[in-house]
Amino acid sequence: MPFLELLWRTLWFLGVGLHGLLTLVAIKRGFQRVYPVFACYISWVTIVGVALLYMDYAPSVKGNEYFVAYIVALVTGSAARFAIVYEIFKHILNRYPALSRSGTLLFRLVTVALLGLVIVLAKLSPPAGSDPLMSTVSLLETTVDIVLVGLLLFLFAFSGLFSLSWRSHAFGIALGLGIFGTVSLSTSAIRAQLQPTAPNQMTNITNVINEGAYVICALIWLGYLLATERPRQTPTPPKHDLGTWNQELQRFLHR
Amino acid sequence: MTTAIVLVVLSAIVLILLIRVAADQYLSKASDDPAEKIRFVDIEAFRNLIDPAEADYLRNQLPAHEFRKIQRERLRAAVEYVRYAAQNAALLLKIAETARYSSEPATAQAAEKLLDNAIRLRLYAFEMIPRLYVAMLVPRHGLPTMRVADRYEQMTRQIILLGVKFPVSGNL
Repeated sequence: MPFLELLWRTLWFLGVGLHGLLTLVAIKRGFQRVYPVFACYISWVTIVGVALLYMDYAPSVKGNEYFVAYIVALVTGSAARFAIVYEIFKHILNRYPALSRSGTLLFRLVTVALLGLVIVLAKLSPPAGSDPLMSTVSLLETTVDIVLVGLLLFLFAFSGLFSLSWRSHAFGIALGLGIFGTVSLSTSAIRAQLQPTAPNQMTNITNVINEGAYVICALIWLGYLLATERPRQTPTPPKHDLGTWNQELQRFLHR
Repeated sequence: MTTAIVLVVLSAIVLILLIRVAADQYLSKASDDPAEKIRFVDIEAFRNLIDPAEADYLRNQLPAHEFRKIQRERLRAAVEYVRYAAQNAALLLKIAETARYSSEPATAQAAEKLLDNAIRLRLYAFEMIPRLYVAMLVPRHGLPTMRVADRYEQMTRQIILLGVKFPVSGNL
């Protein structure tokens, strides 16, 4: 077995193991009550990961059966990742009722714009590769990643624009998802373009990168999950600032 | 191939951005007090700058080209005021964000109100700045409303309320 293949297979095992550990930690900490979609996602990823690993090594499983399982994992995983982004966004908005309406409207507009963009990109992309089914899968992966990364960028930009503070768990989830999404976008774009018909050096490299991102993502989530959200401290504005604000108040009161 | 290259480059940029955001988030925990960065905004001067009656008075008193020049300067100054007010709102958001978890209910309530107003002010500011630029290009275009000024005044009162309730020895 070539070194790169051995490496990505090791990372695959490691990633599934880490997601399993993540699920256990999340359940133990009652994370499913605060972020139910995220908790379902990591549980599902673990189950699917174990199933795909088994199918990959079991001699009785045929190639097309593995492919069907892979497609199911891809579609359900992608849908769940979108649901997680929405879950994080709702968490942020719940803490700032003043932004609830405009924030939700903006989120919908950005989603529609991103969907429009990927439809245009899919139309413009020249068909690559000889297998139409694989072309469709690669295109699906790329478009899903574009929308996901776009929505996460919107999430970070929106909270930055309004100086909204993130609970550290929400930030950790978004960060992990963002890193996974950007890496996955790069590798899926390369695959969609080159369309390999059989495993080769390039597929091994993209697999190593993808599985590496999968492991890093799990480690980030685990780190944020294990870190306790620190209680905030009440600030004490400096005396001179309060004086300035008081002068302003007196000016308004005596106007 | 071009699409793939563009997507790889874009995702690399986004990845770097994400890492920077994460680093900022981590480092901001030990950052200095936001209250120290608050800038003074003269609300009266700002109201005067976007007062339509004031603009009408100047239009009647000055030659057309002179009025356009002065009005552009006035609106440019108004944009600066709105920017400062929005920056202050962002800083006050940070103060209110921490104060909303106060064990004292009155402080927490005042912080919630401040938070609400600071967000609304930033919303209005984002809406107002482009309108001020349009008014700069087309001097006859209607001036934006006073909502930013009103909201800023409300916010000012709330931060004082919040400040009074802070346990600073000998304040006010």
